[in-house]
Amino acid sequence: MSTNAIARRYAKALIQIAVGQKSVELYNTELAGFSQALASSAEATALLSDPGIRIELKRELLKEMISRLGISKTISDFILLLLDKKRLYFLSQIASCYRSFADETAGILRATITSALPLTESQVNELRSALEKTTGKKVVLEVATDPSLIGGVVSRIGDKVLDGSIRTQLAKIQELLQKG
Amino acid sequence: MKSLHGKLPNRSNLLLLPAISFGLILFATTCLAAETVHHADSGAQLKDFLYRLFNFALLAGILLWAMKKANVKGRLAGRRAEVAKALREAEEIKEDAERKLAEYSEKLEKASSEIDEIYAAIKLDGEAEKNRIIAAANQAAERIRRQAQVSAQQEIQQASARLQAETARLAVQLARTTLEQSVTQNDQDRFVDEYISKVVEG
Repeated sequence: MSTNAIARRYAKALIQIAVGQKSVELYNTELAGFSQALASSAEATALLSDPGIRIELKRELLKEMISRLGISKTISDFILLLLDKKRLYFLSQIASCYRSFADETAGILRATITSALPLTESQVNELRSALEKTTGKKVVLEVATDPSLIGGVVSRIGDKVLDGSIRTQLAKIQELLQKG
Repeated sequence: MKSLHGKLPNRSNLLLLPAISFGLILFATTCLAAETVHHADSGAQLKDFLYRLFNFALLAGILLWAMKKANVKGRLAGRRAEVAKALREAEEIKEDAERKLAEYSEKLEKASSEIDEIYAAIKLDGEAEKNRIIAAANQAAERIRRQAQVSAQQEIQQASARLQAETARLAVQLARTTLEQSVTQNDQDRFVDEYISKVVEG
């Protein structure tokens, strides 16, 4: 079984629990926060991945982190379960999959908007509205700026890309000219 | 062969010789006797004549005896037989030589004919080989010419494509440089509006 399949299986089980407890977004936040905290701490990552350190010590470390982050009992138990199953290194993938499942459950689409020049608030709102109208789902936008686009906007929703940049249009024109 | 026959003495000739000699002697004796009558010489002359006659007869007898003793006749006959045998052998050799000559001539004629046929066949083969080589050379030349044409055409097409690509690249690069310097916030706002319209239209 591939690592992605394992992560998806854990995430799916967790989202089912979260839906039942009506805590989908809470667990999403906690899982993402803990995963980020663990990844940012090289010392904690090294300690947890060291096979020479006893599992009790690792458990104490995780409990300390969980306590400091104020994580709910369900997520806390889930993290400790991963430790017991020696699959804690799947945590970041599980968090990513969980977010996808959570968004799907909540009817949310996450999109990235890249613009040649900074967009105004109204333009971002218009873009969000347009994308929500097109997809029929709530869209959460992540906005970025890339001057190499020269002009225009590029949006990416999952695997789908809507490219309205001058850079891409110039590339298409060059391709057409080369083909004659 | 006639000359050889002419050189050999005839049997009748051999008997004729002493007879003629004897006749000549009688004639001479008669003449001397007549002269004796006319002149009425003495008996001494007659006696001398008789002595001479006697000598001649003796000589002729010795001669005939010697000839018989020497078996001239037999020898001549043997010689003639040998010569005839030699003639027959020579004739046979001649005929054999003529037969061989004819045989060799025939063989030579046949060989010459075969040589002519072989020469004609070789010439024919050579002609066919020449035609085949020329045809093959023509085909090779045609193939090379076509390949050269195709290669030239491909080179032209590739050069044209490269030129077109380079032209397009330069044109787009020029356009990009111009746009990078000339796109304003208003243009960007217009691009965003157009983009939103396209997204809404789906």
